[in-house]
Amino acid sequence: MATQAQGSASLPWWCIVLIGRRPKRTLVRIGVLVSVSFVLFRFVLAPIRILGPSMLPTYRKGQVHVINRLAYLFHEPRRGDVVAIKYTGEHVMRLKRIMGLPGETVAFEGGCLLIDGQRVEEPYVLYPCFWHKPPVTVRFDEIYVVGDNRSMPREYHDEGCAQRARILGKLLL
Amino acid sequence: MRNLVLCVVVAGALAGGGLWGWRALSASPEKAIRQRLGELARTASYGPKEGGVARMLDCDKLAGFFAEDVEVKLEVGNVFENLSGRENVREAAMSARMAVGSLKVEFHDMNIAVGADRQSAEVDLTATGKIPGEQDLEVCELKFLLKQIGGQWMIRRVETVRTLR
Repeated sequence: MATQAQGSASLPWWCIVLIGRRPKRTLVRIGVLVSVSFVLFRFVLAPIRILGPSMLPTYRKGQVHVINRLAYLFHEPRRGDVVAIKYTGEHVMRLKRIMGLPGETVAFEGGCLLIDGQRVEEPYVLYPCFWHKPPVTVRFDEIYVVGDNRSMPREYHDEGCAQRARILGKLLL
Repeated sequence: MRNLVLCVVVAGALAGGGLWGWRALSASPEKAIRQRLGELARTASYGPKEGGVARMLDCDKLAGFFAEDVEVKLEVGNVFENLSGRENVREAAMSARMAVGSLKVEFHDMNIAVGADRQSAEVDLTATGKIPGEQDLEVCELKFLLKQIGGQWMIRRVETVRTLR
């Protein structure tokens, strides 16, 4: 204890501010923090920033959120999940809501979503929608995704069947 | 002692220079393709104050990235373009520059697969186009087929990959 007190007393004040009273411990802490951050952001979480209007009003442009890459490790995607869908990598992705699951038939009639011919309530769709789309059957390696903002004509909105392999993860925060 | 330090410094400089030269001369095809496509994105971008001559020169430079018999099949937003031949690409680039005041093109996440002959390559990438002043970002996935012609990687085919069916 006396040795530690002597050690910290011999360090100049700026050194204590920068690396603490016990430099070795500080170094270990930095190492642990860097390792944990690397593992967390490389294999578990992916931060994203929203750019477009397709998920309005639930998610707005400029907001920052986090994707959980491990969300579908133990179960398959579920209807209503908001997921990030990759293009060729992780720098630019789509953020969409899963509406159709493999084997189901998805259609829009007068703005209402129909799954296997049954109307589905969507509390997160707050803007008026008048879409019409003939039934599409989702293949077994796909999911059907669509944004919450359906006020625009359907031709201007990216929606449809995406390959399951393109899902990076589920929106966590 | 001084001689020893001098020797170490000279040896270090020679090793560094040699490494730099070796890396510069033996650039991998992946690196060359990455640089080439990065240059293509920069050439495809333009600002609002581009004059007529600069526009023409830029379009010529842009066309220089494509092979004579290039095939382009693009579907970006509601724009569909089916072009064949370098001259048509140049004309389409000119028309686009007349229609849209400025554009910033960027390529992300390039996945490069060089052929066994090392003379051809397939590249998948995500392209973004931003028109300054507009809120939306146009995004699409593109597949390029490149061929080495006259020591340069030239684009033989470009097509949009439909990521949502």
